[in-house]
Formats: sequence, structure tokens, C-alpha cells
Amino acid sequence: MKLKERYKTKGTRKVIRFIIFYLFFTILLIITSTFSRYTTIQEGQPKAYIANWNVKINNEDITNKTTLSNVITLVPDSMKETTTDNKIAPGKYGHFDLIINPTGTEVAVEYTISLDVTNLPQGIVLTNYEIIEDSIFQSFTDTNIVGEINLSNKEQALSENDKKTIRVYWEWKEDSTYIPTEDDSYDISVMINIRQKL
Amino acid sequence: MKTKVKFLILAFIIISSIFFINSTTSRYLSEVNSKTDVDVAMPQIEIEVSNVSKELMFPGDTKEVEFYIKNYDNININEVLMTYYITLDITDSTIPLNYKIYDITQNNQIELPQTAQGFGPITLNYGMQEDRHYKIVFSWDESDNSATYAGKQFKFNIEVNAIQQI
Repeated sequence: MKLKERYKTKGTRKVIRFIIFYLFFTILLIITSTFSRYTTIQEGQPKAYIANWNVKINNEDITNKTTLSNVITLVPDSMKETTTDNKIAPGKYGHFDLIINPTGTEVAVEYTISLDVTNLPQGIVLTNYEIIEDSIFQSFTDTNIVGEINLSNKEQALSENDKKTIRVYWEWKEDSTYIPTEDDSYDISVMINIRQKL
Repeated sequence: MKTKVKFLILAFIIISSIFFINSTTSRYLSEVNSKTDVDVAMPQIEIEVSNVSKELMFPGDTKEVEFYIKNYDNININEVLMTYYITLDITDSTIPLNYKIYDITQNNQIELPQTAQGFGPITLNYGMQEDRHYKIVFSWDESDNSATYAGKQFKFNIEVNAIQQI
């Protein structure tokens, strides 16, 4: 079969036209970026401006880190003294703060905080969280907190005023039947993902 | 052949599109993890029995058993404020012994009240070592002197039922 006959059908012609258009468009894009140039020659130092990325969690710079130490402290708020200092027991409640400070960052920011409470004694629950600067108070539906920090002025970087304090409230229910043993070992962990908002 | 050509075309479009798309979705990203140990307050109660005599008992006799309740052992000290009651688990209740428990910690003798939950309530403190000294006084009513009691052994366990104070 000759080449001309092979590609005779309408469907095939449509495909060929599309490919030609796509290739033309692609080549045009490449050409314009490689061949366009000033007709006058000027002296100077061309600069590439890169937006700053600078984030701290509880005053610790996370830019080049993957782990933080002791971001969370599960210490009771209760004034009633019924346990040794800084230890928790059924009936106790409290909170801890996660402070996201993007001072100096020159892009809007999104954050996701994921809390892992699977290795806590039975009866401990996260009840609510509060984003203090935004006057947001929410109950937990799952163990994730999502939010964003926007640039109020595109000409200026984020500042101290743009930081967010996320306060997480916890409670160890009084009626929980917990029988402790010496070998018990508990912890709480958090993953904080902060990314540029597109 | 037609299918092969279409596949090649599609692959080319996808690969070249990725080239353009990739440059628009890259963005700043920081991700950190943190893990913190949680300190749970641990209760600690020890019972130490002393002065157990194996002398025979007869109708009309009394016998005393002393024991201590401590809120510490060699390593740990109680970390939770608790309330406890003392009960005796008697293995053979056919032997007609009555008993009372006295707190003799302060060199005097204070009878503990008996409630449905046991003898008490008594507070077990936390954070610092504490010993409480008790005495059980068993008494056998003289008039209850059946010969069927002869040769029997009287065994019991001291139990402490502690509940956290909230």
C-alpha cells in the first residue's frame, strides 16, 4: 500500500494536523526563548531574584532540618496538685503550642500539622485546637490541622505579625480504666509540613 | 501499526508536556518530625508483713499481726495521690475469728473504721516516702469452742485497694 493511501482516512489526517500544530507551537516557544535578544548592547550585571524561605517552629529554624526535639510538652494545666510535677494521670488536662513563624519568607505559605496519638495511654484524647491569631477554635475531627499564611502585601515579606500559634488541647478522661505498669512507654509525635502556597 | 503510531504520539505529547508543567509546580517545602516521650504518673504501694506468730490459737485467745504499707520500694516512690482501703482475704471463714485493724504509726492505737469497701479510707501521699504501721487483732470468742475447729489452719491475705484521687 502506498504511503498516500495509507493516510487517506479522515481520522488519520486529523491526528497528523494536531501533531503538526503541536510541534509548531513547541518549536515556536523554544525559538522565541533562544533567538529573541536586545538589539542594543548594554553593560550591567543581570540579577536573578529568588524569594526568601525562612520558617521557624517554636523558635527553631527548620529550613535545613528534618527533625525537631521536644516540640510538644504534655504537661498538665490543672492547678490541683495530685501528681508529681509534670506527670500526667487520669483526670488531667492541658495544652501545648506549636508556633509557626515565617518571618522573612517572601511567599505565601500553607501548613499541615499531623499528630500521632496512637502511642498514648487509653483515655487520652485531643479535644480542640485554637489558632490564636485568627481567633479560630475547632474540635478535632481527625488529628490534622491545616492552614495558610498569606502575604498581606506582595511587595513585603512575611513578618512577626504573620506568625501563627496553634494551641492543641488534650484531656485524659477521668473515667478511663487505666492500669499502669513499669514497662509502659508512651510518646506523642507530630509531622509539620510547610510549603509555598501556589 | 496504526496503534503503535498513536501510542508513540501520545507518549511524545505526555513527555513534552511534563517538561513544561514541571517548571510550574516546583515550590518551597519544609517538613519536620518531632517525637516527645510522655511521662505518666506511676502509683507505688508495698505491703510488708512483720511479726507473724505461728503459735496455736484456742477459743478465748487473741493474736496480733503487724504490717506496714509503704508508698515506695527500692527504686520508685508513689507519684499519684491515692485513697486506699484494707481488706483481708480469709481462706477459711468457718473458723470463728473476729478482727479489727489499728493504725499504730504514731505510737498510739487508732481503730480504722470498717466500710463496705474495707477498712479506711486512708490517703496515700505522693512524691515523698511514707510508711504506715498497722496491726490486725484477731480474737476468738471463748463461747464458740466447737471441737470441729480443732486442727484447722487459718490463712489470710492482706489486700490494699487503692484509687487515684482526682
